[in-house]
This record gives sequence, C-alpha cells and structure tokens, in this order.
Amino acid sequence: MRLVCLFFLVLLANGARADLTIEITQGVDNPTVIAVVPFGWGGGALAENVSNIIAQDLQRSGQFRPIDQNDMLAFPHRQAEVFYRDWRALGTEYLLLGDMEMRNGRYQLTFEVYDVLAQKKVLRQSVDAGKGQLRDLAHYASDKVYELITGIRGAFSTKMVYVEALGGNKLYRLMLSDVDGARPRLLLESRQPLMSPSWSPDGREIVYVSFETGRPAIFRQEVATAKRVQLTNFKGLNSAPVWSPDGKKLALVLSKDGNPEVYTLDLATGSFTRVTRHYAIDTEPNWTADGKGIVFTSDRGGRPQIYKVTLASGHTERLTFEGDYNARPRVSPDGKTLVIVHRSNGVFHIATQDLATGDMRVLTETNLDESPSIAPNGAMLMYATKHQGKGILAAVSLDAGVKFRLPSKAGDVREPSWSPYF
Amino acid sequence: MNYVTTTKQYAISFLHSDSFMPVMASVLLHAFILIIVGWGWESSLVTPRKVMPNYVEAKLVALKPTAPKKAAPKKIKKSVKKVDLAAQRHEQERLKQLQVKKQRQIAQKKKATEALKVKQLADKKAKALAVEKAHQLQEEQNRLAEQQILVEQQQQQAFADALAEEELLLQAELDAVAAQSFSGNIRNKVQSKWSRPPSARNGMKCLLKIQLIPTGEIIDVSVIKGSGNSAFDRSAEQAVKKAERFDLSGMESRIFEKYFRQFNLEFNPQDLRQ
Repeated sequence: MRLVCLFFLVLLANGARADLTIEITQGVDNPTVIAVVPFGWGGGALAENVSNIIAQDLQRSGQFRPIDQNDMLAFPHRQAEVFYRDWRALGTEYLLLGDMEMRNGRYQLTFEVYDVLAQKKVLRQSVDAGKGQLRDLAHYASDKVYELITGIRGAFSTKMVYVEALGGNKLYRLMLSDVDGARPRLLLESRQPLMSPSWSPDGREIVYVSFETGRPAIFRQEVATAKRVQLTNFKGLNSAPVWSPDGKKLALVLSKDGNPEVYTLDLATGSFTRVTRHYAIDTEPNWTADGKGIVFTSDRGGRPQIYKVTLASGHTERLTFEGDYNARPRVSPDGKTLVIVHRSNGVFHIATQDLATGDMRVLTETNLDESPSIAPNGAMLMYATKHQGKGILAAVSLDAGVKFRLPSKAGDVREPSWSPYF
Repeated sequence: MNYVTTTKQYAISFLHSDSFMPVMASVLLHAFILIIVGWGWESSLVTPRKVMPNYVEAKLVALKPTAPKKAAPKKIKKSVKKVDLAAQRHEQERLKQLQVKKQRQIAQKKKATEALKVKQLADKKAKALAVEKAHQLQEEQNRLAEQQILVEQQQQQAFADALAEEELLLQAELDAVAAQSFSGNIRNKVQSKWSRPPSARNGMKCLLKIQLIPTGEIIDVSVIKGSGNSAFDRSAEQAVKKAERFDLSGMESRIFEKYFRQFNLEFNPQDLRQ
C-alpha cells in the first residue's frame, strides 16, 4: 500500500513539475575544427614553421581538422583582435593563437586557445626552448591543445625507434625519430640484421636483437650516449626482448633448451627464469599492464594463438579464438585491449581484442601489416606495412577512425616501437 | 528489495526538493475530488428506492374517503317505502297510525336528515382532512423531489468535475505526444552536431539546462551536472551551441511554455567503448 502511495506521488510529481529531459545517446565524432593562426614573430626567418607543425600534429591525430590558412579572414595574435563571428562562419570550434619572441637567447612561445562557440578563452600557456628545439616547442603546444580538447594526454612529444634496411638488406640501421617521422637519428648501423627494438619504461634505454656476433644476441643501449651492453649469448634463438612495466626485468625468448620458450631476465642479478614449458613454439612475449602476467604467441593448439600466463601461479589460459592465426600481442596502457596481428582469408591485419568481452575488431585493411606498437596514451598505434613493394610505417587510431602513412624513407622500414612518455 | 529502497530514496529526495509544496497541494486536491466523486455515486444508488413507494401510497389514500359518502343516501329511501304497506281496519286508528306514522316518518326524516347532516359534516371533515393529508403528502413529495434534484445536481457537478479532470488529463496526454515529436527533432539535431572527444566513454553523463525563446533560438546553455571529464562536457555544450536554434514551427504556445521554454539535455553515449 505504501508503495502504491509512493508510486502515485512520483506520478504526480512528474505531472506537476520536472523539466523535460531529452536524452542524447549518439554523436557523429567528426574531427574538431580548429584554426591554428600563424604565430606572431618579429624576428627573421625561422628554421621551422611552428604553427604549421602544430596543425599537422593535430590533423594526424585524426581528432582535428585544421582550417586552411588561405581561408582565414584575419591572423589575430591577441584576444582583442579576435572576431568570433568570423571564425564561427568558417565552422571553427576552437582557435589557437600564438606569439613568439626571443628572450635571453631562447624562443618563448605564448599560446592561447579560444572556444569559439562559447566565445571565451580556455587556455593560456607559455613555454620556451633553445635553438634547434622549435619542433619540441610545437609538439609541446600540440600536446596541451590535444589534452584540453580530447581529454587524453597528447603523445606528440614522444619518439619512436625503427629498423631501416638499405640496399636490399645489405645494411641495417636502428633509427630514432619524432613520431611524425621528423628528425631521424642513427642509433646503430650493422651489416648483419637488427631486430625487435623496444623501449625501457623510463624512455632512456632500448633493447634489441643484433646478429652482429654471427648469431642472434640481445643488447641494451642508452639512447643518449649510445653506450651498449650485450645481455644474452645463448646457443639458438635469443629474441623478442621486452621491458617489464617496472623496468626491472625483461621478457624474452630463448631456445637453449631445445625449442623456443619464454623466459624472464632479472636485470639486477642477471638470472633467467623459464616461464613456459611446452614442446610447441612459445614466442613474442609482452607484459600485461600490471606486470603480473605475460601474453605470448604459441602454436600449442595447432595454430598460432595468443595465451596469457600468470607469473606467480604459472596458470596459462588462451585469449584468442577467432581466426586461425593471431600473433604478436601488445597490451594497451590501460590494460583493457589486446593489439594483435590477425590473419583472415590469408591477409594479415592489425586487430584489437577487448580483454573483458573478447570482441575482436580489425583496424587495418592492407596486406602484410605487422609489428604493432601502441602510443603511451593508448589512442594510436604504429605498425609496419608494405606500400608499393616497400616497407613503410603507418599509424591507426585504436578506434580505427584515422589512418595515415608516415613519410616514406629511402629503404625498407620495419618494426616501429613507440616510446613511453619522457 | 532494490526497487523499494530506490523508490524510497526517490521519495526522500523528492521530499527535499522544492517541488514538494505544490505537489502536496495537488495531491490533496485530487484526494478531495476523489472523495466527492465516490460519495456522490453511492448515494445515487440508495435514494430512488425510498422515494418511489411513498409516491404510490399517496394516491391510494386520496381515493378512500369518497366510497362511504355514496352508500348512505340509498338506505334512507328504502325505509320510507316500507310505510306505504299499512292496513285499513280502523280509519282513525289508521289515521292515528298514519299520523303516528307521519310523525314517525317526520321524526325519522328528521333523524335521517340529521344523520345525513352529521354524515355530511363528517364527510366534509374527512374530506378536508384527506385534502390536508394529500396536501401534506404533496409537500412531503415536493420536499423529497427537491432533495433529489439537489442530490442529482451535486452528482452532476461531481461528474462534470471528473469529466473536466479527465479532459485535462487527455489534453496533457495529447500535449505530451506533440512534445515528443519536437523532442525527437531536437535530439536529432543535437546528435548530428555532437562530436565526442576520444576520451568519451559509454556511461559518461552530462546534464545541460537549455533555455529557448518561442522562435526556437537558444538563449542559454548551462551545465547542471558534469561528467567529470571537462572535454566531454565542453563537447556537449558545443553541440547545443552549434545547433543554434531548433525548429519549433507549428508548436502551440501552451506546449512551448510547458515543455520547451526550459528543458534539459542529457548526454549519455551508448555507442562508444567502455
């Protein structure tokens, strides 16, 4: 009876007042329209066009559509010069203004972001950089704008390493560059194959496989100083090293006991621990986000599939069931998504699998896509693919909304590895 | 169990809200109307049974007094005829007897007339009494009829009230249907303008308050309850601002005032990642 009374009251309450509420459950996810106005600068010609770099960064993220400078009606540098109506007429949602000056031998950039529709300033920040660091200045501003508008930390200031093969596999280079492919720097050159570069979680070192000794061996190398140490020299396979999230261990593959098995290496003590025990091939390990488990590829079921082993208990479970080939697993930074190489109809794609639901989604449609590496913000991933018979790098957003190819290099490019935040 | 607690919570939060007073007032008003209607129906079933028998009885009473009045004069005539059959033995005797008889006759006639007079008087009295009784009955009848009319009027009033109430509810229902189609248009327009940031996830909720003028132009947008993700909330606000105005053509001003001068938009994506 009381319930009925309450129900009656609720009905009356709804009838008496309560504003109408319309629920919005869908959207279009169009890229945000942003106008990056050429920055103010009183000096001579600069080595880099900072506002252009920012516009390109934002465009490549897929989340933004920068307005063409030729369409802009004015180039304001401060708030007093902003006429919102003009920008709104262009469909602009956000406006980025900047002013640069030289101070104490350093470039100083002050940038401001305006919400055109709300007609208010939403960000103002200053940053400075030395000569030769104009790109860093631009990427920094891109990160801030990206984070403000998307709610996700930007990763434009991060780096990547990749392997370049020149002259028909006669020369191998381990390269470091910005994630937009700019400012490539040589880390190591070898006449023997270089493979599987991977970053330490603090971004100061990399590990990789080099055949320079005549057989595969694992090395670690400081990025800044090029100081390097050989970690393994076992008979057979020494491959696929990856750093643990806490930076204390490596997971790697050794075949010293007969067939490829996953091991961990304690970097402080130098001791190896065998993780998998199976007569089938176990390879391509990667740590789970919490560092308590390792995912790896194994053909123990007859076909390559992804498995996960919990280190404390040794308990192993199979994660992938869709298709007859799933390999090279990578776990997203939030630990919720598995990125894999998935073969369907004889074509290799990059796919994601939701770890909670098991739902698989194919992100790329080109053939021979391999070696996915996820950005530290989990929004994009880089992978290697073939374009016109040549190995190139491409990127795709984790929701498959954006894809782009990185500028083509001289040789074959493969095995990209996206750095952590610095 | 859950339902009970949530309902209770709803009720409690509702008690604290500022809509409590008007709602209580409307509850009491509804309760009062319900009682009136309920009482009116019940009495209308009982009263006719009491009134109808009284009406029939009254007619019977009015006929009774006329029956004895006609019977009395016939008896008197018969006794007068009997005197004509006396013998002729002695003339004197006969005369005497005749005289006596005449005297008797006269006495009898006198008696008869007197009796008649008395009877007539009684009749008159009875008649008057009957008339008065009838009159009283008539009055009683009138009174009852009046009472019945009053009750009927009350019933009719209650019925009319209930009808008006029902009409109001019907109107509200029609208004709600009309409002729904406009709501759909508004939803479609906002959805077509809403570009979610990549950090948006299913389950995020942002409630905005929108104020319109009758031309459909948006004059104010404010966040009532944010999602905790400022990029998400800003995208919702921008979606509304991009819409600029909603098409309200053909909307009755009653519906505009009731639903659209001020309303809420809840942004609650269902088509994104968890």
